[in-house]
Amino acid sequence: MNMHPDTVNIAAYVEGRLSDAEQVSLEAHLAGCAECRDLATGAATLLRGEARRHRWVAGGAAIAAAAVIVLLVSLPAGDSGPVPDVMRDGPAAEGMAAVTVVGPDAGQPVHPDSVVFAWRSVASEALYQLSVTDGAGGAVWETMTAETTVLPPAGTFESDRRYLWYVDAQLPDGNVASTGLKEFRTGTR
Amino acid sequence: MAQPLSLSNRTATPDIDHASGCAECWCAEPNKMPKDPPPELSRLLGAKNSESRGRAWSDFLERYSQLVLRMTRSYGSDYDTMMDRYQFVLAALQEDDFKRLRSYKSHGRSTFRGWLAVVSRRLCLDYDRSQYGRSSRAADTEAPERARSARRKLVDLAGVNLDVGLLAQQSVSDPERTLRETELTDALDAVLRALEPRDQLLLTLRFEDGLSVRQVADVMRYPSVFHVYRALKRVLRHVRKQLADRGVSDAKP
Repeated sequence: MNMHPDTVNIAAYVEGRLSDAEQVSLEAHLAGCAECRDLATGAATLLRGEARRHRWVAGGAAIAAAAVIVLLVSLPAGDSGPVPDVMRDGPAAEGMAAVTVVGPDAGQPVHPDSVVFAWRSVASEALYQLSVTDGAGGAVWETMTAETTVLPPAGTFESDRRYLWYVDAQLPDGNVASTGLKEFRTGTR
Repeated sequence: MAQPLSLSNRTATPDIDHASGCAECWCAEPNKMPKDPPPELSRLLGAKNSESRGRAWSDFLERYSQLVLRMTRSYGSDYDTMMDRYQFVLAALQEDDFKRLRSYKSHGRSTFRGWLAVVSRRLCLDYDRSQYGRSSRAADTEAPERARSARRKLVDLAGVNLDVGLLAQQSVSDPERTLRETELTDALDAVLRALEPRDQLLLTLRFEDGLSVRQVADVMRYPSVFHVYRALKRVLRHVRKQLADRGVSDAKP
């Protein structure tokens, strides 16, 4: 067995910064050295996963921001306007896979302290980001989770208000899915 | 030295402001080298007293603890073991006045983040060895069977009707059969050894280590999983041809 390569060289390989000759040499070593392969595999999986996750978060936030802006422009003042059908589809209509919503139900007012967000799993090991805004588009609460049911902290929602929300999912293969923009209304506390 | 860490803080605080364009990972401009060494590392290694060192270590953790934590988590095991491993990695990074961190000399070859990921992985391995005498993965009793299974899969894909994976379990009651199997295994090994290093690594990652196609793409930097599938198809076709040239393509043990 050749001498193990330096950690900088393994990192450089993972990041694609070696010369062609260096890459051939390192790949020859990796093919025969389980330990160095483990280092490269672990680092590559972690770093590439991070990159996919950050692209997803940035992309999801941009789509959501655009959706909220379009929604606000299309709505009358106040928070009682309906969500246009096109916005109900929201990001999901832009070519993303859809995440199916279980609750809260848009048609029935929900007690402010009993709001539970739930949706159907789109894949094992998917990661979900839930974002909630008030009727004027102001951020209310957001969280990231691997679960498909989320109970917001008590006091998050006020009585008799309209809220908008959406869930973006990051799938293990790097793809994304979304509920699109949804709404619900709170009842009296 | 080590600052107490709140797990909730660690997981809630983004370690990089990626939205503004981060040059320290692959989320933006993959060929652009980041500031090297990163300011958090420079401040830490340049700290003159314990107070500034403590502050610098906190800043360093805020930036990099998620990466270390994710690495320790990716190494498997239950939560307690994972946290023990995490603490071990942090302690190892602090040892001897940050000796490991001081050894980081990239010379423009890798990012600090990439280097730290490899070092963290290395320390996870060291931790398992310190606890179990060897890697807990190596101690995995299912590993030999997985390796045999992976090898069988490679043989199947190469079009050779031979269960070489079970060779070790064969009795020696049929010397002729055993000899034939050994010859065939040797032929396969010879063909694999003659492959280009990159093709060898591709088959090793996929069939010996059992990585998913996505993971293979990540390690070998294929642009997509489809490139991996195409490369596998090409290499396996070559292996089949080489085996056929050696007269083993329709071999029966």
